[in-house]
Amino acid sequence: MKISLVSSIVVSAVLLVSCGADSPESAVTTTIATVPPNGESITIQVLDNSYRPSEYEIKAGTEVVFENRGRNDHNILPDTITDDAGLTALLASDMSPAAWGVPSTAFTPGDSFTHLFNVPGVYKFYCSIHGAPGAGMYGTLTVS
Amino acid sequence: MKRSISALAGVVLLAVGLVSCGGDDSATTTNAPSTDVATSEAPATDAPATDAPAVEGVLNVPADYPTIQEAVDAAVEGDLILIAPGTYNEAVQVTTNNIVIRGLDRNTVILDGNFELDNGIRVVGANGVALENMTAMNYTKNGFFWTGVTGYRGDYLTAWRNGDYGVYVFDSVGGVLDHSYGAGSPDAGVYVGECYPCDSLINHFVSEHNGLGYSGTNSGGNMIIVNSIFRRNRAGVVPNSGSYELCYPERKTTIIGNLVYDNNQPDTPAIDVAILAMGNGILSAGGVQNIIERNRVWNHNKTGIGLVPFLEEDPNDSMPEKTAWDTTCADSKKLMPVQPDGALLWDSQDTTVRGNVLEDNRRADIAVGSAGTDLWTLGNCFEGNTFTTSAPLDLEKLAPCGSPLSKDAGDWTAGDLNVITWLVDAETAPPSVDWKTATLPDMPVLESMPNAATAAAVPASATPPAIDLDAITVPDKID
Ligand SMILES: [Cu+2]
Repeated sequence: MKISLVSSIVVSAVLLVSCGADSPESAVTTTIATVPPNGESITIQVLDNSYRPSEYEIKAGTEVVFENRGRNDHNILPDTITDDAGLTALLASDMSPAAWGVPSTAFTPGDSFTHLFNVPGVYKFYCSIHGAPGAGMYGTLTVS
Repeated sequence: MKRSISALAGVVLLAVGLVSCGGDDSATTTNAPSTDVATSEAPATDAPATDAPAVEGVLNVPADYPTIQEAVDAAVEGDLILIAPGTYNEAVQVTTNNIVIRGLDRNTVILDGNFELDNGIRVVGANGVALENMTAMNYTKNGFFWTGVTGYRGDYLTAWRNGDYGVYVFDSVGGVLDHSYGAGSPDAGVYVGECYPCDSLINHFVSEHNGLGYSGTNSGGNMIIVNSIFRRNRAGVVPNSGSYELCYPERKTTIIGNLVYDNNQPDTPAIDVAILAMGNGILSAGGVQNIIERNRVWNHNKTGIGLVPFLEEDPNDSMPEKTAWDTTCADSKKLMPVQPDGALLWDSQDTTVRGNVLEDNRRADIAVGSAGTDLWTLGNCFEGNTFTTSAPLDLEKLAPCGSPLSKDAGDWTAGDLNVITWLVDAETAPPSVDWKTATLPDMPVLESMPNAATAAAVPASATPPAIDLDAITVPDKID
């Protein structure tokens, strides 16, 4: 297997750690290597009320297409987010790999959502309508 | 493996991220509110008294905890949360195993979503949670919702005017819904789906003025619906199959001793499928190996008991072979889908319709239909029913129970059911009414749980109580 990293983009993410109203904000700088698209694409079916497959391992640079093939609205939220509004705020303020997902308003039956996972890591996600982190409608993508 | 780093390397993005607290970070002192909220020994507050004495393991709302959610968050396994009469504008989420949440009065302990909150009480991945003796109304999704659990129980629950389902059980096994009520939802008043074996019992349930009285997609296996009333919905009891949920097909649901009537209601909220199924009492839509016995079914524009196909135009997987019908839900989830080229026709098969009493079902009291499959190959049988009309004609002679069906038993086409016309009927059927404003009968004052203030807390067992199915007789007509 040949992985050619045409670019090794370094992402310095300034992470705001919020632990309550009076907690001090601390800045943490991390360095994250990203890889370009590798031309691979997989599809995850989003059914009522499951992601299929719910666990998947992919190589960094793989595009993942989530298709809502159920009869109901769903969303795809990182485990750190509690609802659609939280996701919208995250996407507006954060360009780190942790900022991804789709709110239910943009993921009605027939909709699809495509995301390029170009940073290795474990991406846990769930649907807030039909699940919670790690329970009900949830999934995990492991990007190596 | 060679890694080449190009001149593009070193592109630096500054990204602002939000990271939730937790882990070792919490070692640094913050002023974050403690999650270690007051226990049931907390001193008295000015909140209304519940008259319940402070008892170990009993968390009173609002006396000890102002909200149900705060009590739930403080509860540990085995605890009882007792809710005093009042209106609670909350969407409660439960993630703790084996707790009991009980209203002191079914009709006056009201969770109200104000048409904004999603679920009255949602139990996510917490086993053995029992919900008892309360009302949930005006939620945008569901009144009461269990998902991903083993062991659940709902007793003396009223779900009223909720935007998806009244009582919704998904991907959960081992449960009971008893003495409960669902009205005014566009999908089903009560639903149990995606489980096999479900090991679940619906007993003494009343479901009315919904899109569907009961719906169960891809559920079955010791899935028992008895002694209940399904009336004035668009359609009454509708077990159904489809690959838009996992664990297909729907199979081995037992429907005995229910009253099913007047399911032609034109002014309910209704999902598309409910409009398509409108005017049918008990309608198997692609279900297999179901048992439908000793029900009383009357006044439907289409069929009293109909076994029909479900046409899935854009399926997500191929149809499992009959030999795979006994695959457990857990095992079938591990299979990767093989997407078929065209539509799937889920035929109703191998179902027994026996000893029911039917009248005034205007297309046919009992019926079986397909959309191209020879009916004698489907294995459905009809025996000992009290009825006037059937489709095809002479259905009990064509399809007796206990022996293989034969093409030569008679004319299978005389008076047969043309379900294709139902697609046309759906186009002109009364459209769905907004669930928020649909006309409903006055909210009934329903029987409360006996001794709610003093009865011991019993978390839900994963084994539903045994029920003597043989002892159930056709119920008397009411109304
Ligand atoms: Cu969902």
